[in-house]
Amino acid sequence: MSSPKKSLSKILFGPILDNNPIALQILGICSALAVTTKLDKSLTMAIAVTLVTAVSSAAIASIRQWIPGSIRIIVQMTVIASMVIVVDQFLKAYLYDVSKELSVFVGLIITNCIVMGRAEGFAMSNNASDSFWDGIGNGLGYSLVLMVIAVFRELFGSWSLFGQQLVSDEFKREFAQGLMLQSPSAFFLIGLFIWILRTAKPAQIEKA
Amino acid sequence: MQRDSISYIFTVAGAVCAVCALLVSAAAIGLKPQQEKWVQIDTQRNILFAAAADDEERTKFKKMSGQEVSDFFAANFRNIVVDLATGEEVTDQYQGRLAQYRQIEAAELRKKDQYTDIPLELDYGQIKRRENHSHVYLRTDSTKRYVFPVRGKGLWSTLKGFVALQPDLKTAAYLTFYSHAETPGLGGEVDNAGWKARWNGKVVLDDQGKVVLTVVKGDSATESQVDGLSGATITSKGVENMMRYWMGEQGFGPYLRRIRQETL
Repeated sequence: MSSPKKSLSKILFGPILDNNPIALQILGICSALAVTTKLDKSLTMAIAVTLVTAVSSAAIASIRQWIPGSIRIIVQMTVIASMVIVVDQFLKAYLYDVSKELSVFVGLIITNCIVMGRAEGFAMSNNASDSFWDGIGNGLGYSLVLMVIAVFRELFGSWSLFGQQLVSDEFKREFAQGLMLQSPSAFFLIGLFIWILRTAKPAQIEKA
Repeated sequence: MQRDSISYIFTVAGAVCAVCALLVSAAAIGLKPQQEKWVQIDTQRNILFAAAADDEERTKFKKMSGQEVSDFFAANFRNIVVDLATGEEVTDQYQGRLAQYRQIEAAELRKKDQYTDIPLELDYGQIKRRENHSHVYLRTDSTKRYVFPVRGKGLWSTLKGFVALQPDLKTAAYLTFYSHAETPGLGGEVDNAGWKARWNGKVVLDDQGKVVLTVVKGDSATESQVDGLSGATITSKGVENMMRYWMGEQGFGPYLRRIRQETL
């Protein structure tokens, strides 16, 4: 997987719209369904995934010459799992309430396909600093989708943003969309997001 | 060494593991004091919920920052430690390190001389071991409620929480759980605010100090019956048994009797 040298801005900003991990690579859907009912949860998850992807990609890239091919996936998993535990410890120490709500999903960052996908697909064949920025870029792409979906779900599901209720209680009771708080709504929203993105950028449409 | 030889693979695997293990342990140990501070604030916040006068005050407590919770707790609560067997206060023994005494650990980790095995026929809550000393929290400013830490087995998990009694020490005021893993939507409804509100005013103990509270199916007919959670018979029964254990002679019974006699 040796590709010609890419510029930093392409590595960093490419994954946001041109090569979005959720919309184009279709990675990391499961956590996008689970944590997007509230904006603050989504934001924490987005930051955590971005950090883990960036740091573990950089770590794996810097030892890539020494990783034996036969155990490379296991080595990647070990590095990623350690990073996730460290992030989880930091959340417990400084964002206790959020960590209580996210606890299960933080552990599941280990199995988030984006992290593994970037480690195997990019970090194993590029240098450490490029891999770091690639991790940040993919994390930002993931964050963008997460935040967009969370805005819709929190707004129409509970008529609030970042936990601040925007309307009166009567209005909320009348118009809150219970469906938005259920996981399937995230599927519809991700679908709409991909549709809009591919209409704007027809190059992303897969050949049938 | 050759790159795919077995000894090389083992060396790399060992080195990666060593570095990662070091990193993880450093983070866990370095951040522990900060994490424990939050666990303590979380406990205090739950005690505030249990002792709150009404839902309005509960909302207020919910919005407080960690520091505000600590300050409010320090100003308005008396934290005592009682010897469960005798009902006497042993607070002096813990002076200065009250917050560090973790009673559930004392029982679950079998700390020497700090726990008692519960006889099988008396173990209503199915917790096997009980700590010898327990915290009791008394709200001194407004509601004068007593808050007791309790725990008992539900369907899947041990429910851990706090029970608040009215100042008469016979009537329930509130019940809240900070940790459980019951089925969401069924047993998990122990967290339902509407259900918790039904506990207010229920008679837990009769005049002789016997536990009379039951959790029943269908409509609760008497003032010592609480509506069970529909679809969660075992969790409801678990809550009933938990109350029976902790409010009875094995639990806070001796302490409750002593305080009631003193206030007569």
